[in-house]
Formats: sequence, C-alpha cells, structure tokens
Amino acid sequence: MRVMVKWVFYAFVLMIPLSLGAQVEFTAKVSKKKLGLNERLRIDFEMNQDGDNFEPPSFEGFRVLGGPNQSISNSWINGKRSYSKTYSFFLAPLKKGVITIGQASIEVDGERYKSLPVEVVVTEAVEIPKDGNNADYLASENVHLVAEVSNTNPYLNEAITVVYKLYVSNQVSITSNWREIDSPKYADFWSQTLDQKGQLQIYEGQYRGEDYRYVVLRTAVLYPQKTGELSIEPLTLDVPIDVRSNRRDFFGRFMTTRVNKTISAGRRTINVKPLPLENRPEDFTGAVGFFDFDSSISRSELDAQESLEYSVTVRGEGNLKLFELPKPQFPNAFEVYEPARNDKISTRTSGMRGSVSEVYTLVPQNQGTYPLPPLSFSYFDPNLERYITKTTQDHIVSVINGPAQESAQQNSERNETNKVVVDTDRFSYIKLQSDWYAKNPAPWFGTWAYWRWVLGLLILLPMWFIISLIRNRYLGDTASRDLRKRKRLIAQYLSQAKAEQQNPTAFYAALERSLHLFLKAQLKLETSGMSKENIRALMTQRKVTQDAIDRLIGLIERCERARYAPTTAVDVQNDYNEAQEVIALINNTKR
Amino acid sequence: MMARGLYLLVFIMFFAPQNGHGQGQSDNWFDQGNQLYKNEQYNEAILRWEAVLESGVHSAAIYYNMANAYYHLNDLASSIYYYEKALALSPGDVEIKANRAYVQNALIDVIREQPKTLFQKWDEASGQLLSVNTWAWLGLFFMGLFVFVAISFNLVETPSAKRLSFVTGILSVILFTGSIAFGIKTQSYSQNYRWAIVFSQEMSVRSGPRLSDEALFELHAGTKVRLLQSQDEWQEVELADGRRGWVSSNEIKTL
Repeated sequence: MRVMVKWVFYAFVLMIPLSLGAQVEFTAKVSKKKLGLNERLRIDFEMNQDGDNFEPPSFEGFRVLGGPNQSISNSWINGKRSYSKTYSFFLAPLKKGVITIGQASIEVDGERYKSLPVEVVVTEAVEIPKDGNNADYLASENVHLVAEVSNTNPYLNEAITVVYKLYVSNQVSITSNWREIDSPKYADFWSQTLDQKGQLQIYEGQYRGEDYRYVVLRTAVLYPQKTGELSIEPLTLDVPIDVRSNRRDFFGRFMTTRVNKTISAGRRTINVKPLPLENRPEDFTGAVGFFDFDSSISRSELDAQESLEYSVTVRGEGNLKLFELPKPQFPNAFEVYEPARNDKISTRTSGMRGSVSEVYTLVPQNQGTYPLPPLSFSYFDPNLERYITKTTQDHIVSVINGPAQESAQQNSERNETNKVVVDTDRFSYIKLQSDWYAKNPAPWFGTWAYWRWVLGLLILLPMWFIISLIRNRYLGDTASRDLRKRKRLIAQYLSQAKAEQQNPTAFYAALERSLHLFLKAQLKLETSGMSKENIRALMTQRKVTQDAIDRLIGLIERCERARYAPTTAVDVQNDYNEAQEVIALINNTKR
Repeated sequence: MMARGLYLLVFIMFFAPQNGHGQGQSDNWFDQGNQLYKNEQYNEAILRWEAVLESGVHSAAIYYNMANAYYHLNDLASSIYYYEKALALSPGDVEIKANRAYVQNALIDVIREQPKTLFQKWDEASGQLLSVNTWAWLGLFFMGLFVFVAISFNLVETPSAKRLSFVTGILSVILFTGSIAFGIKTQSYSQNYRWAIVFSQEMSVRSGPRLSDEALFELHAGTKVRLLQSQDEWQEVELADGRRGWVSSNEIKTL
C-alpha cells in the first residue's frame, strides 16, 4: 500500500512538469463589441489551466444579470489533452459610450494571471435587440467584401490596383459558390481585370484587428483617364454562408444554417491629380511611368531602292498602351511606309510592363549621306513627380549606289525656277581657287557720293565748251574763224538767189550779185576791176584749178546771158547747184 | 580727245572693287583649309575658312567649300546656309546647285514653290540680274560715255561720224537711265527679299508672335524662309509655297 502511494506520488511528480510545460492562457471574450443600450452582453473568462481564486473585474457601467457560471471541459484527443475552464457573466449596460471591462485574475500554481481589459461600445437603444446567435446577424458580421485601392490619390494615367478580398471569420464557412450580382464598370478608367484562375488561395489575415481568413477574388489594374473625383462602382456578390447554430444533431455535432447574403464592397472614390503643367515638355504625349527609349536602324550602308528598317522602342513600366510613340521625320528622298506596331505587354498587379515598338520601312531613292535626326520621348515619372525626356542618338545612312540625276529632276519639279541640270553623278569636290571680294561693301549706289560722280561727269560737258571757247579766242586760229564766217557768207550770198528760184530773171540777178560779192570778199576785187581776164589771172595766181575757174566764168556768163534770154526752171536748179559747188571748190583751194 | 578717254578709263579703274589687302594671307588660309578638307579634317578646314571670312573678304568658292564640309559633318542646316550664301554671290554656278540638291534630298521638309505669273518672274529676275554696285558702275560708265560722245560730236566733221556719235549719245542716255532704274530695283529687292535658314531641328510656326498662339505647322532644319516683319524675339516668315507664320528668331539664321 505504501509502495503504491509512493508510485502515485512519482507519477504526479512526473506529470507536473508536463502540465506546467503548456503555456497558461487566460483571456476575456465578449459576445459582441458593440451593442445597444437595451441589449445584453455575455463575457467569458477562459483559461486553459485549472486555476483557483478567480477574481472577476468590477464591471463598472454594467449590471451583472447572471454569473459567474463556471464550466469545465476536458478532452483527450489522440492522446493530447485540451482543457478549458470558463467563468461566464451576463451583463446589461447602464450608460452609453465606450466602457472598459477591467481585468480579471486567476491563480495557477501560485502565480496570478490577468486577462486583458476589453472595450465595449454602447450605442443608443436598438429597435430589435441583436441576438448574438441569430444566423443572419452572424452571417453579416462575419463575412466582409473589401475593395483595397493601392492609391486613392494617383496622377492622371498612373496605374492603381483595386484588389477585391472576401474576408470570412472562423465562425462561419462558405462551402458553395457565390454569384456575382453586379460587377463594376470602370468608367473613366482604362482597366484590365486579372481574375484568379482555378482554386482560390486562402490566406490568413486580419480584418479590423480580428483574425480572418480571406480570398482574393479579383484584381483590377486601372489607369485613370480623367482628373478629379472618380468613383469605382461596387462589386456586389450573393454569397451562401453556413452559420453554426446552437442546435446539435443526433451525433452531437453542431447543425449549420445556410444564409444567402448580398454583400458589397462599398463605393470607392478616387481623387485623380492632373499632371503638372510647369516644365511640361512639348513632345509629351501622356506617358506616365518609368521608361527606356531607343531607336535603331537595321543597316547603315545600302544602295538606293533597297530597304532598311528604322525602329522606335519604348520599354518599361507604365501606361504603355495609352500613348503615342514619337513620330520620326525622314529625309524627303526616302520612301516611307506605314509603321508596323509591335506590342509586348504583360499586365501585372503593379501595372503594364513590357515594350512597344514601331518599325518603319524606308527605301532611299537617291545616293547621298542622310542623317536621321534624333528622336526625343518624354514621360512623367509619378514617383519623382517630374517629367523626364530621353533622346536617342542620330543615325547616319549612307546610300552608296543610286541615281543622283533623279534627285535633281525631282528638285526641279518641285522648284520650277530652280532647274538644275546636274552633269555630275557625284557630289562635286571643293573649289581650289578663289577671288576675294570685300564682304560688306559700303553702300554706294544712291548715296550723295554716287550722284556727285554722275554730276561730275555731266559737268565735264559745259566745261569742255567753255574751255574750247576760251582757247579759240586766245590761241586764235583766225583762219578757222574766217572759214566759218565764209561758210556762213556763202549761205548768205546764195540765200537771196535761193529765195528767187521761181523767178529766173530775179534768180540770175541775185546769183550774179552773190558771185560778185563772193569774188569781192575772196579776191579782194572791186566791182570795177571785175573783168573775166582779171578774175582768171588772180585765180590762177591763187592756185585755183583751171576747171574751177572755167566753171566760175561759165556761171558768170550764163548769169549775164539770162538777163536777155529766158531760161527754164531746170537751168535755174542746175546753176544754183553749180554755184554752191564752185564756191566750195574755190574755198577749199584757198585753204 | 584721246587723253580725255584715257583719263575716264583710269578714273574707273581707280574706283573698281578693291581687292582686299592681305590677299596673300587669305589665299594661304584658303589653301590650308582645302588641304585639311582633302584629309577629311572637316572641322579644322572650316576653322581655317572662317578665319578668311573674319578678315573681311568672301567669295562664292569659300562658301561652297564650307557647305561641302558641313555636309560631310552631317550638319544639313549649316550646309544649306552656306550653299545659299555661295549662290547669292554666284547665282549661275552649276556645281553649287548640284551639291545643294544632294543636301536638299536629305532635308525633311519639301516646300513646293507657288506658281508665279510671268510678271512676278520678271520682277524677281530683274532684282537679281546684277549686284547694286555693278549697276552703279554701269550707270557711271554710260554717263561718261554720253559726255565723251557729246564732246566728240562737236569735234568730228564728216556727216557719218556725226550721225554715229549722235546715236551713241542717245543710246548711252537710255542705258544710263536703265542702269539707274535697275540699280534702284535691285536695291529694293535686296531690302524686301531677305532670307533665312531654319537651324532648329524642329520648330513650330505660329499664328502670332506669342508662345500661346496656335501652332500652324512644323518646319525642320535646313528649310529656306523669307523674312517679313519682326517684333522683339519673333520673326514673321514666308515659305516658297506662300504659307506664313511667326517663329522665334533664335531658331533661324539670316543669310
């Protein structure tokens, strides 16, 4: 007997560390954290070790309706013991507001353990007191649909993610499929929804501080297309929820009640900021994100009529599908085909990622060197909150063989006044000789200086006349002066005769008078000494030709004869001409 | 009479376009530039040629050479700029026009010239026929010829010589008047037709001289524009096809 007691003692000694090895848990649980003034509350103080000397809190602000009720459960499952001891109280609130239920304490193996204080919100009296065990109430309290928005204040075109999560508490379960009643339409957004495929993954998480299980139903990537307040329509589901009821079935298991609940993730409002206006580059086309920009050519040396490819690529993360790539400009001698667009974009929860490129096919028509101007691309970086411009390097295309002639023809076609006939098929070499001219000749034409030159030349004319006049007067060449006088005299002598040509008698009288006057002036003869012999002798002396003398004498004779015999008009004309010639002859001889 | 003619000739010679002093230095730099161009040292060649230009002289040849060098450096706007400068001095040069056509092929803008009436063509051609100073010299020459002929008219005696000098005199008066008229025409042409080359890679032509004004169209480097009026930093330009608009003066370079 004594040995047996000893064994039992040993057994106990061995068992003590086992029981001490499990951690002592002492918690306070309330049936609801929020209740109306006319509702009741149950509070359980639960421990997993057998404790003594339980001291309940004061329950200030509550009236204790019942309790403490003590219950103990002890079970062995697969050799594992689980134990719980519970003290329960039923309480009725006395006032509105937040009431704190203080700490309860228990003594386990000589140590005192305390529960955490619990806060309870007491609201105004409710119409129908909520029954903590009502299935509907439980279902609505334990299942929540939440739309989580990654950023409620994004920039225009900045990606935001909306994640729809269904939270289910441990008290209820969902065993069959739900039905979507209303799926959101994302007006004013560019959207892409990423639906969960296959089996939903169950995660552990917290919802308002309590442990929940949740599943991710759907993820939507949104790019706001408008600034200002935009709302996201709610997602509404019809969910069958299994709620544990208090009844038990024949085998002692809890019976479950199925409740269909319509739950909705509330309407969310997103405030979209416009992109800043200051420092906005001119070539900005709405790209928001983080990008790399590049351009490339497939070959840089080719012949005319061959083709090359020019590609423009934007690669990175952002609204790749929502902006235009910069349009390159090509030399006019290139034939350019419509670009082929290549999109390699994958959408993830963080947004679109990948590359967009446009490939241009170019066919040069003429030989030459063609620089393709650099391209620039601007985007807005929402993290740095500023615009960034990236520029590609320029490419140079050498077209080695090909017509140059045609280019000139094209040139003359488009530029009529500029008809160039290029006789060289090559780009001509530089010129090796040069004449030099003053770069900025002073304006001369139209200035006073210029008109002075013109006037200066013009003034030479009267100056010359004045000079020649003075010279003639003082350096006297009298002969030439007399000559002019004589010429004038001949005209004078003959003018009378000329006037009388219609009347032969008067004509000859005048002609004779004229000849006499001429001889008087010429030979310094008096009228009395004007015999034919005398004239002939003097003339010969002055070396007048015999012929001229004969003609003069003949003329004088004809004049004398005409006084008595009538003559014709023809004779008059002939004699007049004869007189002119003879006078000229004699004059010339005299010089 | 003979002496007077000689005097006139000396007189014209004396005032003929001055060949810049230090011609030897210019030729030296020019040749150095040519040598560098041959060795494909285009930047250095341009520096030499620019030194020549800075000394106050220029020529079609040096502008043409610079344009070729800029083409090899792929600077199309500068290339066109110097070809145009060369053509202004030597409008009929085939080589310059041919090489310019190469560069024009590589430009982005194609400006189709507006068709002109015959009168407009004459009007423009008359303004580009000869330089103002050449017309000035021609005017002076015909004036001198008139004075010379007027004097000789009084000296010659035979009727045929007199007739000849009379006709020459009348003709030289007509030619003098014509030269003066063309001179005035050329002067007003060079004042009204001022040109510039677009140097900015790409620029907007706007409806008015403000950044807020509507952008009408885009122009790219190397395009030739005619200058109209200007206000502050803005310049109104006209294209060969008749389109007009305002651009920032910093983006173009006046010829």
